[in-house]
Amino acid sequence: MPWSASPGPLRRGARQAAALLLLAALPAGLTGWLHPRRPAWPGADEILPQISLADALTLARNRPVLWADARRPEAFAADHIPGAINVTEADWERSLAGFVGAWRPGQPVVVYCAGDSCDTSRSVATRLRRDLKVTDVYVLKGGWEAWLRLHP
Amino acid sequence: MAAPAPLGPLLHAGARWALAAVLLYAGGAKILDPAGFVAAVGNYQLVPAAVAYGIGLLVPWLEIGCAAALLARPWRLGGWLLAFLLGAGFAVFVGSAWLRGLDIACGCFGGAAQAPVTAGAALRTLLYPAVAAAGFWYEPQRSAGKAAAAGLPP
Amino acid sequence: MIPHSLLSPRPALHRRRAGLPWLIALSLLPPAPSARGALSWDTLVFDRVAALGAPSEDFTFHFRNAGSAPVRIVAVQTSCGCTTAALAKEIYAPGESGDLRVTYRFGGQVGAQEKTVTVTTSDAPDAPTVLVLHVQIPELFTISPRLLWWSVGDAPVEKQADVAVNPAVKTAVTLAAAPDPGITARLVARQDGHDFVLILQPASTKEVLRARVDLRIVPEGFPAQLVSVYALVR
Repeated sequence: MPWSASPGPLRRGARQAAALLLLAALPAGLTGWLHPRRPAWPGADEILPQISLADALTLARNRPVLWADARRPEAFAADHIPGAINVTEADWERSLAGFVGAWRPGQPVVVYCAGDSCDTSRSVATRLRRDLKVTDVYVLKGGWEAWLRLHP
Repeated sequence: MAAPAPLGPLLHAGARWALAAVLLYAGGAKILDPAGFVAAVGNYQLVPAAVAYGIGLLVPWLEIGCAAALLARPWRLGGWLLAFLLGAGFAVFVGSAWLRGLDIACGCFGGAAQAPVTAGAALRTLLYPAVAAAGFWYEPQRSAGKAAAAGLPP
Repeated sequence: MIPHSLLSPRPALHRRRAGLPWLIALSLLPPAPSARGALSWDTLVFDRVAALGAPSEDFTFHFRNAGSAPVRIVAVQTSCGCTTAALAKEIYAPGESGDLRVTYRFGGQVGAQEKTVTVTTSDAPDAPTVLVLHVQIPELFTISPRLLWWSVGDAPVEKQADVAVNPAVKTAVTLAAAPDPGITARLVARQDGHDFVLILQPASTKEVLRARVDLRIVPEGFPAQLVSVYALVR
């Protein structure tokens, strides 16, 4: 057998691999800091929970859900999910007053914007969590477009 | 089956150089576009974003370091082992995507290169850890360690 | 120095195994990958801190056609309606440079913001380039939380909201007027000299209550603001 049960080579190899890992850490850090094509630092809103329309509707069957429409007021006025309130950062103080009027403590909130390519829903959801310390806030996957597909 | 005596070590060295070349190329391509690679790792939806960020920044330099280690005699054992770990990790990612039917760019040679995850790519990805494991298995460096421990000349 | 691998005696069994598997392994190494996109960007990420009170920020992404064929910019999509992008023209000859000017209007947004601009080109329609803007929008003040609530039947304890003021700006914070009936409010200055704590307490939690407390915030050099903190008994 070319390889007996001796742990020598494996341990040596492992030590060298660990050293290589440590050696790679410095250039990796410099890349993340200085490279012109460096990746975006994973922000806090990465942990924002997303929910599909189907799951949100299931949730709404058991407990009343507050729908928050993060689109512009004109889009909201034209049509929105029944019972939704308009919450925009551009008009945050007024949106906040409306939210406080509609929200019951403990009620889950689902924020949506036009679809998946807009990030206003994530922005508004993050702001709600931050300013109101409401934890049960979701971002609707597919947004208003998903609703329209279900209710043409 | 019998092979001529000198062919073994020659093939072993050949595999070592070939793996080092592939690792150098792969690492270099990823370093040109770290954001693209991090995005590719994220697309596999296997790890959270922060972990994808760390993997994306570290792996290209690990590949380059591994290539150098394979070519530097004292570091060969570590090189093979690291190559195996990198290859196995990558195989897990690509294999999981193929199993889940994800339609994403492979990210094998940087983020932008369009190599979709096909069965061929998944199978090919099993090859790296296999070659690396075999390289470690047959690495003559190990005998040097054992011989030194036994007090014999290498 | 003769390489060790050629000198060391190898066990007979080892020698026999070495050949065929290696040949198979080496022959299956992958082919070279496909080419990269033709547009070369000076930078893909901008990190900026906006000026206090600024309504927007402009960015310029400089690029060059590094390929050998003309490239048409097929689509430019931003992640937010607040971010607009403008190009002088669509088609760039090989070697030609261009600028993508992006304007990010903050609206009411604050804090750490990330906006993206996705550029799709004719040479790589399936691999668009994502340009990222990281902007830190400084705030004159933050009040958190803006809503304090009690459940009906809970003990009517004091609850507080933290009023943090931008340390670079001298700011006066006062209670604008008497709060709505049913709730008492106290504004207490913190030791650090610029932050405050707003303490609210409902008179009773036997009934549903919705009340509002207004704070008057006057940062030096900026317009005064009336900001509400809400109290709910539900």
